[in-house]
Amino acid sequence: MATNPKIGSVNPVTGEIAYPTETLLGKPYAREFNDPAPAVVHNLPNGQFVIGEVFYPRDFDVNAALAALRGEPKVLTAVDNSTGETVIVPAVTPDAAVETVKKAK
Amino acid sequence: MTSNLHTGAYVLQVALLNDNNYPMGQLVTPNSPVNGTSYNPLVVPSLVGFEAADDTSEEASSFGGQKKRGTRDLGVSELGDITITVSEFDDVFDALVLGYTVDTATAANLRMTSRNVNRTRPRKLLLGFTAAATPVNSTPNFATIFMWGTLRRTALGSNQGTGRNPNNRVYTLKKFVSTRTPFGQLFSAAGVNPDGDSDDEYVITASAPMSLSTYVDDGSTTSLVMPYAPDSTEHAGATNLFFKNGTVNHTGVSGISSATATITAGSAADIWNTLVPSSAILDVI
Repeated sequence: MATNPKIGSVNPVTGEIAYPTETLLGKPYAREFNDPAPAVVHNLPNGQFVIGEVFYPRDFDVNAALAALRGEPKVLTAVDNSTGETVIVPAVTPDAAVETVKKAK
Repeated sequence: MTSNLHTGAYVLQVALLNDNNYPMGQLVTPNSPVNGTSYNPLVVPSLVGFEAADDTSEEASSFGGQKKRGTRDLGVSELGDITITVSEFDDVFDALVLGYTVDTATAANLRMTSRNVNRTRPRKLLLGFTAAATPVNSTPNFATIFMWGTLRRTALGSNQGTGRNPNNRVYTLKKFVSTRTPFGQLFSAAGVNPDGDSDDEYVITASAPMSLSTYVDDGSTTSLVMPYAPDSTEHAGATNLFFKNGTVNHTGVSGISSATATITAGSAADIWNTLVPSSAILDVI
């Protein structure tokens, strides 16, 4: 499950679509049952997508914005051995990963 | 059933064409898509009618010796205009087909439009109009009729009319012939085999309206989301059409789940056109 409100997802088994609550530009987005399909849908890896715009601002770099979203951390879960509960594992950003490697050296 | 009664006006889909006559959904810069993106046509919800005028045809005949001799049909010189009637003023549809922008940026609580009456390069459009198609056994089928052209409309006005549809908006479709079918295949390779490898009309009769969409490949993503879920998950070419760069590509689709097709990624900028019977498009209001 993605954490970014701009990212929607498709259930790989049922094909059910979970729409995001914001478009790529950050505008609120809500799709009701009878609404027409969004005009523009940018695909992301792993069955995720972003609602795009027909008109982007002149200075808006769509590809850069999508590239940034492709690097979005995902919510990871793991079982805490001490309690047996499933907990959310904080995502490791690329910068934090670099720091971890430096410290290990 | 080969003979169907066409009635009603259910769905109108509108897509812009790029310079190669591929439909590119509502992308207003159809020659500059973003890879990895689905572009969906606009569904016009307030459709009232889609009516054709007669073509102008040329002919020559011989009258000699005071007798009627041979007559030759010399072809169609003008395609008849199509009159599209909608019951409401839809500014998104209006802006898309007339080539202006609905301005909600200048004032967020206002919607501002113009008519772009001086435009010199009208947008090239693919329109898909769906009517009921009823055969002798009354099976509730649909015929989706695709045409290519540019649109104009009359200036806005209003009146004191009451009752049903007191102020319809009328658009005129100036048709042209296309070298590609609605799913991107060249007419020169199409099974319908028209003379001149181009045509102005393409009709698909099916159990539901044919829902059109375009996906521009990014070379890596292995799924594409269609705007409306197809009624069938069939993907071998019997019901749902998948074409890539104008060539049939059913082998590139390994499954359909709801509105999502699992595909074999092609190359970046490949253009996928999908055309599937979808009852879900009838739910749009």
